Amino acid sequence: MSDAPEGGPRDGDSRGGEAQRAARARQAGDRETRGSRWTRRRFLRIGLAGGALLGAGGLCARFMGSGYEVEAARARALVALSVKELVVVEAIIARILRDDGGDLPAPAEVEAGAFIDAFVGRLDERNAGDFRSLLHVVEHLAPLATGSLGRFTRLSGDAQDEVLRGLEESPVGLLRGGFDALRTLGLLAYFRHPSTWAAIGYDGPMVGRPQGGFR
Amino acid sequence: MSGRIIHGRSHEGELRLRADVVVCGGGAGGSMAARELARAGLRVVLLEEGADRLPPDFTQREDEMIPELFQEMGGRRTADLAILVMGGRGLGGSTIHNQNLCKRAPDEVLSRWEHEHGVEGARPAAMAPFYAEVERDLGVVRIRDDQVNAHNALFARGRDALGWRGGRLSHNRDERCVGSGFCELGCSFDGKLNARRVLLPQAVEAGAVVVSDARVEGLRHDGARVLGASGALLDARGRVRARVEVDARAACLAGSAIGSPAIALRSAVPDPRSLIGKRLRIHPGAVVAGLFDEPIEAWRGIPQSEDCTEHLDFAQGSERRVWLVPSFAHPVGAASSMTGFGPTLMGRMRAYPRMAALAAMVHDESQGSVTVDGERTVIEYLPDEADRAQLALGVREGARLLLAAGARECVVPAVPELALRGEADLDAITAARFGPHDAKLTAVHPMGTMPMGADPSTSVTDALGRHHHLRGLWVTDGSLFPTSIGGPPQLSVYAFALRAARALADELGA
Repeated sequence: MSDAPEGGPRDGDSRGGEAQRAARARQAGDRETRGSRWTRRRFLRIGLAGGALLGAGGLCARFMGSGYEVEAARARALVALSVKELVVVEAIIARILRDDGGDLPAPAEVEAGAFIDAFVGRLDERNAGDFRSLLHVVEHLAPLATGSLGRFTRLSGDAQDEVLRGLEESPVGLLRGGFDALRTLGLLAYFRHPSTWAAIGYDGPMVGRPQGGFR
Repeated sequence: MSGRIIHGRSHEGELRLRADVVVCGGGAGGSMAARELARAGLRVVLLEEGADRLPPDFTQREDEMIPELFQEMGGRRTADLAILVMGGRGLGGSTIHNQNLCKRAPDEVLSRWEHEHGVEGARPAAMAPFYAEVERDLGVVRIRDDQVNAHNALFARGRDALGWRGGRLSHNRDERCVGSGFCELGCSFDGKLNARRVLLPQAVEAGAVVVSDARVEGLRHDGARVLGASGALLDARGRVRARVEVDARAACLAGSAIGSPAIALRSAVPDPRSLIGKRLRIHPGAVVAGLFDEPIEAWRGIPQSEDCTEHLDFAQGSERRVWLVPSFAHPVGAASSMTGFGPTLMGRMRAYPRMAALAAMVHDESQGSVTVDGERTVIEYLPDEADRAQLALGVREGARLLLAAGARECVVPAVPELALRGEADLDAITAARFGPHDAKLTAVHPMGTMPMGADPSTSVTDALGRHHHLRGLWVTDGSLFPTSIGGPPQLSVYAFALRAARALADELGA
């Protein structure tokens, strides 16, 4: 398997070994190798540029700015996300955590959106900015890939699932990774809550466990 | 200098200290170095970015402890976002959240380091006394029969039914361990004989000053020798509240194979061959889950007490380089390790009590890198074709093990998900299924980015951990490893840090 010289080191501690490994990567014409050059910075620039294009002109700005409403008390409680961002993230996790008639609580019942808002508030500026860009991509750009001109939050449930599936299966690695990051945060916001544990048969922490348990 | 622990988040004003050695990082390697150097009579200051958390602080809640105990709040990934790269943060580092597995580096690996990489003294016989001392200090013992939980018993059943190699593991827990199963979130019962519990108190007793919430931003040097370290004291949210400066004639980098090269690169440490941060290995791991008819409740008990080494061969040119080990998580971790969403995912989570899972961890040959982009540390890693084949091997054989243990179905978290119900399905698992983002991969053992070696044209430090070009700079963490180690690295990090610290103490005339 190794291209290292016979009997020689095989872990790249010789310049020859490293050069050979790099050459194999190039020669493989590996799509994923090229995809990995989609750096995070390029991805975000494209996402933001796309948003700027959509936002050009007053009409588009009004379109983008409308239809994002939450109860006043929830809006006042936000620490990091805007109302629009909260609406978008809650729409996303509503589909990720959808249980279709099962006995698991809805994400709203465990205040998943509020948790995510607080979590983003703890992120450093760059990671928080990345997260906001990701929400922007999902809301305004990802639907385009499924042939929809509408915002994610205005699509039907099935259409939203199609958008999310498109992200999960995207040939662009950063979009897949971004979706996975969103999904993971949603799962943290959801399965952290004791009310989800009973339905999955988990008895929760030993520390601070109430008499009779969390279930 | 009288030893003490300073909590940077509550220290008033700036902090300026003088020392013989500044240790940058408070994990396994940094804690060992600090203890040894302080015991040798040297003035030691240790700076650790994370907080000082003790057993009463560990709530066993994933939403509270994952952001607290892990780098980037548990979300650190490779630049392409394909691989989750976990690393500890806090006094004790990864030893706070690790699974306490204790294995020496394989003889073949150590011999290769000595004979092929010029790491004189790395051969098994020479390292044995260091390992023995670490094992004694950390109370390493074989896990008892009565400590094996249902999940691990099931794993052993499958392994043994196939006649495969492997066995009971050893650990560094003591009688305070109650088998809670919350090791990865910090031990509320103080059952881990880890760096925080054992080494840091000894370092302080010997006179070391240990500072938590203190991020090292750079080493100070004049191009020829170390002058000290500079950094920031952080508040509870990680925001800068004051400066910390340590004047020292030597420095130990112990911020992990991710953090140490990042510090070195930001500090413009002399690096004529641009080797710092290169040759990153991470032991990429894929998960296989098995669904059983009976409840297993795998989250209870000691998480890892058995392993399988049937497909782990350290001979030169081996085409079997994968370690299988039980790997279960609490609900957030378990759900996050799956793929899919909506009713499919929620249906899988309903089967949580009847689920078993193992990790297939590759003794990798792919080489990634750590670079810096302003304040951001950038990790790049792409498993090459050979390592993708190993991932496929591990997943295939892991599924075979779970089926032999009685699973009615195995699931590989991939896009699309792979469901395996029998031997005939295993042939579908090939290297082609493991492109970036195709399967969920996690890495918990970064290593190799400032490797030891005799030749300065291919190594960053000498055989002891002394930097080739900057006098007074040493490395005392897993960055030192010239290759992947093929198993849990904590004992080796401790042992090589112990060795390096003693050599440094000799050099400083202690």
